[in-house]
Amino acid sequence: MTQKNTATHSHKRRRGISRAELPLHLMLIPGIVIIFIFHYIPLGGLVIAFQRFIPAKGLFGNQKWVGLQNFEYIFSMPNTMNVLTNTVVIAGAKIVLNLIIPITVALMLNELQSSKLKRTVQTVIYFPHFLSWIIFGSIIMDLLSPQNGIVNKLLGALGTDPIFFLGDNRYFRQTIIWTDIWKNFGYGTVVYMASITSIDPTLYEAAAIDGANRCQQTRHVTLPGMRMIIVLMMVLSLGNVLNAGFDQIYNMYSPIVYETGDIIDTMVYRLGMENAKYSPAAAVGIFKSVVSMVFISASYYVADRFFDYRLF
Amino acid sequence: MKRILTLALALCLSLILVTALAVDQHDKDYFDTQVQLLADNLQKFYEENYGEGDLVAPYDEPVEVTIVNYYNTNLETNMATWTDWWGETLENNRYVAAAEKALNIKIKYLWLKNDADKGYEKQLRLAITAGEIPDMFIVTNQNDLVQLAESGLIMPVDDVVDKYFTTWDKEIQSSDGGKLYEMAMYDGQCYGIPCNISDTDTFSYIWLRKDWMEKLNLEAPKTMDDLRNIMLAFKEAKLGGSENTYGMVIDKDLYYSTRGLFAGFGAYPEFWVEDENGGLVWGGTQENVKKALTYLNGLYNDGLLDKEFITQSNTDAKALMFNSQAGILYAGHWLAHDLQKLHDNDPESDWICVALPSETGAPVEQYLTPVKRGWIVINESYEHPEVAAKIRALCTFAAQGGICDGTWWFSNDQAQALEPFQASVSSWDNYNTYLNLLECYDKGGDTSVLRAKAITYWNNLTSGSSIWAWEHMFGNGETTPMVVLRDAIENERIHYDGFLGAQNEFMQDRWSVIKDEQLTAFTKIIIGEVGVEEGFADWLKTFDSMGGTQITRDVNEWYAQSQAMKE
Repeated sequence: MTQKNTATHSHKRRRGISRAELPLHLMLIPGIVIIFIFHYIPLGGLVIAFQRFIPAKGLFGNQKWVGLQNFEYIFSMPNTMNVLTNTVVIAGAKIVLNLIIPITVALMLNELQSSKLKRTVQTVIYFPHFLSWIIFGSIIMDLLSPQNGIVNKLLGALGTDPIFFLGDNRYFRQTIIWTDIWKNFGYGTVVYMASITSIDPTLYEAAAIDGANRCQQTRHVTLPGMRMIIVLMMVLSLGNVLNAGFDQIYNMYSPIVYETGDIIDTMVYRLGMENAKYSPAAAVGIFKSVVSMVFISASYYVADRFFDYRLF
Repeated sequence: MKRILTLALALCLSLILVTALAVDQHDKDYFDTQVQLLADNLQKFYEENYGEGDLVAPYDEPVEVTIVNYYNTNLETNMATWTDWWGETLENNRYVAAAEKALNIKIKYLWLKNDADKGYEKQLRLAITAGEIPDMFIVTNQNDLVQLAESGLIMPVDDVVDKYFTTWDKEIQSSDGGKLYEMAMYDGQCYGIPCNISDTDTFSYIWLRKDWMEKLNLEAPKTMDDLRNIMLAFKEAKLGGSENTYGMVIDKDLYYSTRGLFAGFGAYPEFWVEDENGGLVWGGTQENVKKALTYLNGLYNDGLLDKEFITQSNTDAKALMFNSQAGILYAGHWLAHDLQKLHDNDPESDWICVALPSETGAPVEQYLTPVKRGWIVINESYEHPEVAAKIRALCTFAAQGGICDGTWWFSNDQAQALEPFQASVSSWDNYNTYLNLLECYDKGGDTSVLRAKAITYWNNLTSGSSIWAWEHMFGNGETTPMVVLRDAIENERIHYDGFLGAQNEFMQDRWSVIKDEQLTAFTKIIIGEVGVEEGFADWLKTFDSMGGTQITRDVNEWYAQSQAMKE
């Protein structure tokens, strides 16, 4: 009898909403409504990926259904394999380097004694993150110009021939990847620095008493303390495996480096420039979403399995 | 007719004097007076000059019409001032007021959109998709127009044009030889009424640094070899001040900065041109292109082109001109505005614009694309299609009728963009304006002969901070772009792009990709990444494998039909 009572009680507690919690739940409603209106209802528009969509016929008008033709169209473009490779290589490199470099820098900054210096460095490296690619891109183009750019002037002083970073297929991808890191590693660094500050200082004291030097402290206290945030950032970034950075590449590429620099987004953009190609664009959108979902799910599974990280 | 016009003008001028004395320009009264003046003279004008007063008669009962329109940021900025002065707004502008006063038509804007980044086109497609179709509106994209016609949302306009449009407007609309009408054809009927603007903006001119040529005692180039020798001479003499003197300016999009150079070899890589069998062929695949590419490759190898051009937009590439590192450019006539900026910094710099040099020294032929603000289309279910004609007639009269303060309606800080259907002027407007200016020069600066845009241009030529630039474009000198243009027009060396039809599905899918491939292939040849012969053969293969041959067949099918219909 007592047992049954307890069971009903706990059952009630789990299922029902207490009077105190009610306002909190009500506060969720606007958010849910917005998500429903702006994220779920538009999903209906995905049908145009399977149509030859003509605006004049209306959204739910008598459009021609073409099955998977739009997907076939995108994949039948002569450069599609090339473009896919570029996308994955550039995006992949950005994901990996955008994890490793900010973590390293955060660890190094953490070792600085002067907090003034620490803050200055943090601000300086964070700054490019706030510039748009239109601006940052032209700064880069200036710096990397073969004739007048400071980089090539320096290389020239060392006796090297000028390198055309943005106009040579051998260097273009590297340039794209490293300039993106340059622009964004400051942001990651700030996030990791924040997670480092939240580590309990007594752990360091204990480690020091146990005789750990700075390296060992970093390895056994700091890194494990950052584990959660690292895994979170990784899971989130894996969704970007097909986002190689439209803004950046569109502002920095040119026909001569399509071979190594053209990505899915820029290709579709050019296809759509002349005619309103909503259908292939929607098809690419679906394709990218599906791939991203697979990657996010997989990485979430891995995170749960090996790092005990869980959102739900 | 001329006499009547002069009379009307004299009348107007005296009226201006009277009104100018009476009214402060920045007062609501000024606005009202102008509108009233237009209303009073509209019907009279068309009756006296064309006997067509009934076409612009006001309605007895007010007629309402819903429209949409686009504007640009400049206009928006100016509007802030005008709102201050006259309470004018984009939706409730001078033309809307005039239409109500003179024609009893109530124009209602459903929306207006800034056209930056094709904003209008996008917004319009959204509206159409949602089924919100105005009574009449401008369509800017040919495919959109054809799709609207195909879906039966707009009406055929042949009869409307015939019955309701004034002779003057019809003249303007077919000033390009009917090209824009032809572009708006679907299934044998015309669905869009053209709003023409000057077609000559795609005409390519060559600009040469005059002071450098004088320094080295050089003559204007006749042949492409001459041109190359001039470039070499500039470089040799290190006129750029250091090692970094280049021959000419070229950019990554290639065609704007080399259009005239290609034309010098009889090559037209952006147009469908007629071949010897009377059919159409894509200019980018013709043998002559190879000659131009060989030439450009030669310039590149001799260090006459900046190696960085492959990553530079035209704006970036022009830095060579601004830094006095290059003394030759192919560009539009408006380059003079940039040249003036250089002149302001370096008063010694001067430029001439001469006839394009060619391979053999023979005069160069050029191709143009019909340019338009769009087509007026009319909702299938709208009961008063003639409203389009009346509004159009009103705007044409306001802008170009010499009515009183003509510039207030037209060129005054781009007021013409307020017209409900955007400005519509002759396809040869720039050229006609030039002729009008010459007339004024001939009469020793008698400004009473000036009409419409020429009034503003004359002001620019005689006052303000950019006289230098205007003289280099529209002045009465012998080395201006307009002299070159006049020569080309008078000797019929200007042609139109051969293909004016709407793209079919196959072409829509492939064409932009093919053009991409062409640009990449040409760039690679110019910088010597592949040999000319090999690279060009590869490009022809790509053209074919991506459907270019199929497209050429389709285009020729259209062409045969269009030719047959003309006969």
